[in-house]
Amino acid sequence: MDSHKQDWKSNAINTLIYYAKLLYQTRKSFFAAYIITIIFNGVLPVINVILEKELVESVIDKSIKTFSLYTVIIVAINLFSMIIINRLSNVMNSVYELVQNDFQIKISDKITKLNLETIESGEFHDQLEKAKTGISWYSGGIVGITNNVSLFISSIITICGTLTIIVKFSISVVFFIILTSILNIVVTALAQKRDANFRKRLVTVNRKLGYFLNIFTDRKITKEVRLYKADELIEEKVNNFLDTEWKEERKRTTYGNKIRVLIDVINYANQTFLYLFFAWKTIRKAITISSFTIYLNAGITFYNGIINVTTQYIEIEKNSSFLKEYMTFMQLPERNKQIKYTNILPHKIKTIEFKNVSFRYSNSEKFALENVSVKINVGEKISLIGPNGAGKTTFIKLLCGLYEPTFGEILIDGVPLSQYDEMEYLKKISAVFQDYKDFAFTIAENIAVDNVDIEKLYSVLDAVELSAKIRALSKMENTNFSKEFDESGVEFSGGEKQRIAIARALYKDAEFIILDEPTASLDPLAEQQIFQLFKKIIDNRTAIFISHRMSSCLLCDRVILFENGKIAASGKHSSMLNNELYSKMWEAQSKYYV
Amino acid sequence: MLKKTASSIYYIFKTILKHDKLLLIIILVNNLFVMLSILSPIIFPQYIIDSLVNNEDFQTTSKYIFIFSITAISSSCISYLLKSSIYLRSMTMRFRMIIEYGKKYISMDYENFENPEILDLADRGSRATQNNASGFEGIVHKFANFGGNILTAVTLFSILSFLSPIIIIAIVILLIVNSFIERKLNKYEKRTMDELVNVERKYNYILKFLNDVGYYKDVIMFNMKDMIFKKIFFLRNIKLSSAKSIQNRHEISNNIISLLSSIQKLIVYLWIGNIAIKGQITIGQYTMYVASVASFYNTIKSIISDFLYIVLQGESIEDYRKYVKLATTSDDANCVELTDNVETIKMENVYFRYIGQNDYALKDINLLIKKKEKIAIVGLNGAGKTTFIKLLTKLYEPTNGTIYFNGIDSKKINKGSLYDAFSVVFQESNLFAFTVAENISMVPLKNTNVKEISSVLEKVGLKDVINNLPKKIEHPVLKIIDENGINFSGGEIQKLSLARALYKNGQIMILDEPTASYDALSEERIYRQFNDLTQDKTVIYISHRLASTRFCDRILVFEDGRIVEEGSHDDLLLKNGRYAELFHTQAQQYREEDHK
Repeated sequence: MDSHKQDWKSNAINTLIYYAKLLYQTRKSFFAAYIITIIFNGVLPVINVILEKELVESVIDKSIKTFSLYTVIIVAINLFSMIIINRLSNVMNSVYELVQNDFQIKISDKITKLNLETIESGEFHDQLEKAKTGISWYSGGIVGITNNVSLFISSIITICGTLTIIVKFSISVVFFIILTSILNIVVTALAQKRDANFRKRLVTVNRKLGYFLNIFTDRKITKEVRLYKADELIEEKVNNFLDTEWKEERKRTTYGNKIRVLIDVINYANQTFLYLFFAWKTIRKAITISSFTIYLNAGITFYNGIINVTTQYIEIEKNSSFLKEYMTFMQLPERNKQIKYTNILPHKIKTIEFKNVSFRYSNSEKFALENVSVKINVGEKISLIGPNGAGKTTFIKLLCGLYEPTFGEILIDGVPLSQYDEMEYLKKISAVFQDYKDFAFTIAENIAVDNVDIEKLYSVLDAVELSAKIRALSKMENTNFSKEFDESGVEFSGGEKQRIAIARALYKDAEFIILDEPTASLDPLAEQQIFQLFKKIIDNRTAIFISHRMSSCLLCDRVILFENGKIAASGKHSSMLNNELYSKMWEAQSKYYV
Repeated sequence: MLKKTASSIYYIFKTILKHDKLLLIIILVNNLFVMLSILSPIIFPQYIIDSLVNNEDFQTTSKYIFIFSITAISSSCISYLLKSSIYLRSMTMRFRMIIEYGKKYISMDYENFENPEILDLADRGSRATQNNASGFEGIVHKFANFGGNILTAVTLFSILSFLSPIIIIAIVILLIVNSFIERKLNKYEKRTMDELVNVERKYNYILKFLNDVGYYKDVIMFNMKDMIFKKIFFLRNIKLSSAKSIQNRHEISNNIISLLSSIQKLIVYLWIGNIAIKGQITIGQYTMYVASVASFYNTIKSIISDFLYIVLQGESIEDYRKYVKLATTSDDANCVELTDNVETIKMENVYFRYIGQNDYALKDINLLIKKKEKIAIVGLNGAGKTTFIKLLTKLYEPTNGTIYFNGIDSKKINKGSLYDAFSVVFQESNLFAFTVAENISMVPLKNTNVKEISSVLEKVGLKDVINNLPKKIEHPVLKIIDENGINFSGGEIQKLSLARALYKNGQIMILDEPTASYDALSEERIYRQFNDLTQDKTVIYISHRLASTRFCDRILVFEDGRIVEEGSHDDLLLKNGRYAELFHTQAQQYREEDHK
């Protein structure tokens, strides 16, 4: 228990330091503004208590002059501090705005630096959600915690100020206030513990709630829901979920109600006591009416100060546990390990060799690829085939350096790939993935990214037989792809999108080009075009083609057949026909066309 | 504007009355306690102070103190309990509204999804139930205080009017100036944000895809990061500079308001202090009036802002109301149920055009499909095949022409009964985060025929995969609800979708490219079983694999929205037209000599 507490403290302090650094780096003047604000917030209530006493005194003394003077002073001091605080909070807000905004950019930047395997893992989605929730307004985020710290410190100042006022009058009253506030704190802390358990569930519950509440309005599913009349099923599922969560929520609220009532009673008991105590003293002529107000106010402010300090302390604990999720996310290990690369990649790669390569996904027991050895020579055309789930796509991801082998090595001209700069290696490889994506930027940017050479652009567009279509558009290659960004953008058909993806891969000028199932949903003519493109364009490059269309094997010099994560056979189509599985697969498709 | 607000308030109260009368009572009672909890610390302390000033005995003073405490404690506690009950009850009602909204979404005319106006209305209406701080719940929470605030304001007004109208005038002037400044500020803010809409959209688009695992590979492979981040920083800077200019205006207006309220305070306090010193009011009254002034100002301010809030949020309620009132299905009263077996489906001069499009997606379709016929549909991407399926299944109604089932105009047939006749495997199928069995039966587990599930799983070749799952057919699908849920591959999803169609056992089976992601052997397996799987069924099969079309009695070739050829595989090859061309193109890929 103790070590746990200790743990938390160092955690919270680390978190606070991390974000304080972030704020300081964003704008150096932030902390000047921050500290001045804290001082103002701490001292002002004390000054007000003192000045109000003078005010009441002057009313009792019937001195209009003193009364006016103090009124002016109170109003002036408050106005002055308001103006200063407004200025400072403007300064701080612009820092917050920047930091808050850039969190999302930083998260996105981080994602692009992570391993593909990390991103594809089941936990990643949760980690990302937690990090995002951690910095959102919803959990307070960085604005919340800086406010918490600020209130925490200014409350301490207020406590000290009011304490000096009361302590002069009576120590016993101070003890009483401290006692009741401890009572309050104990109850609050008790409730907090229970609330912490609930908060842990919050991210998951919200995710589930989001799924169930949006399931009806997911446009993708509506056809199925209608034709299969799934509304009854969905409604039952949603209602079941809501019922369970509703019961939890009611339990939580009922408990919260009890706590809240208890705290209210304690607060008012304290206030009542203070009233009675000071009234008694006034009646006994121990203090004047004006002192009655000041002591009463000081007593209440003192009590509230103590409560504030505790609440803020709890809030800091809570919010820092949220913010920690972002920190944890940002500390996930990155892909590029920043070591000095011992080797410089050869200008022209001659071979890529898989040597006893095995690969297993981190949360899986089964190997997705097992003991794969194969050598790819420059200029070869290779067809990868095999049943669904045989390891073809995993092989490609390893080849692209997106995954690292669990066992074995990938050798580039005999040197392990891990000794090269991965970004340099990626320049040599180009791929159209099965689930390739296009971007709502211009056509030129979709193909050439930020390195647009018009002549080359149109030569690849020629190659994929799209240049006529693009030239006919009013903004040509600067036309926006899809209408997402720009009303004048153009929507392309599935086949055209596929060809643009291929154009992108061609434009890259890589030595190795990989096409993963580029024709699955294409009609026969479009498929034929892609096949011809493949032959025509890729003439002098090394190419790897994955397809369930067995006919693609005829396009290639070599066929590699995958089965259950292993290479079952490899060779020319004609010799592969001797392989039982291969010939079965070939026969299965080709027989219909004979 | 106000009419809209009134109508939305009426709708809210009607909804509450319909589902939860107690909530209405709780809201009403809470308003009284809100008033009490604001007024008691203003009114009671004066008696305490006055009794002290008048040197009354401790008993009298403590009596006042106890009355004050008990009122304060009880009103605070009761109001808290009531509010927490309002929170729970209004949340329940919001969820109920979300479900109602969702049910409307899946029951309204499917064609509405092509109608941007209705989509827009649906979008705006969904804001009514977005979270518990806006829309319906937001307004309910405001109503929990609104009446109490008005009562408080009236009470304080009468207290202060005893004192002097000048004070009330000073407060009112400040309020007017204050709202004027805030209105200007809000307008400026709204204008700035409106200008920013495009920037926000682009910014969010980029963030969304950067957080989408699917985009990662392309971003890395094509080194797109620099370009993308240049764009996002450019957009960010525009966003930040707008935010900054709004901030600056906020500072100025805050300062003006602070200055004015200081002047007001000065006038009011000096006035009250002055008459207190003159002895016209007691010290106790002095404190009460000072407190009343501040409270009156704050109460009126929150009444104004709550009112504006209700007006603003009421718009989403209005949209919600309109959306929920949309026609559910175009079934009219004299629709008949399709009870008999479907002997014939006939299309007569059927045309279809999407809303907002000039060209017809389908033109002049004439067709007769008989029971148990196996029809293949072939054509290039975008030839109108999928639209044809949507018309056939009555997801869309023809723009012109008629579709007959057993000679009955499909417009006269009850949609639900027609849906029962179809088992459809869509090109892109979707799974739900329910159990495997439920994803196939599409009814709750308790109503699912487990035997039938195993049988269809066996037929589609997924039996082993499912039996290897820890909970077998009761295993959860997707990881979103259950961490142990299973994510299926593309080919497996297609197989599950076929299982779903088989389980439903509709008389008419529609298969839209059901094997696109299958490997060669799984595809062949399905082909071999084709006749078995579709026995006694009318089948419509869309495929780019011309190998599969030969199981069918008749092939329809679509081109540019028309049926251009029709006949059996052999007929069409003999005809040597479009179909033959497509077939030979594909066949030639399997001939080695053509690749030399």
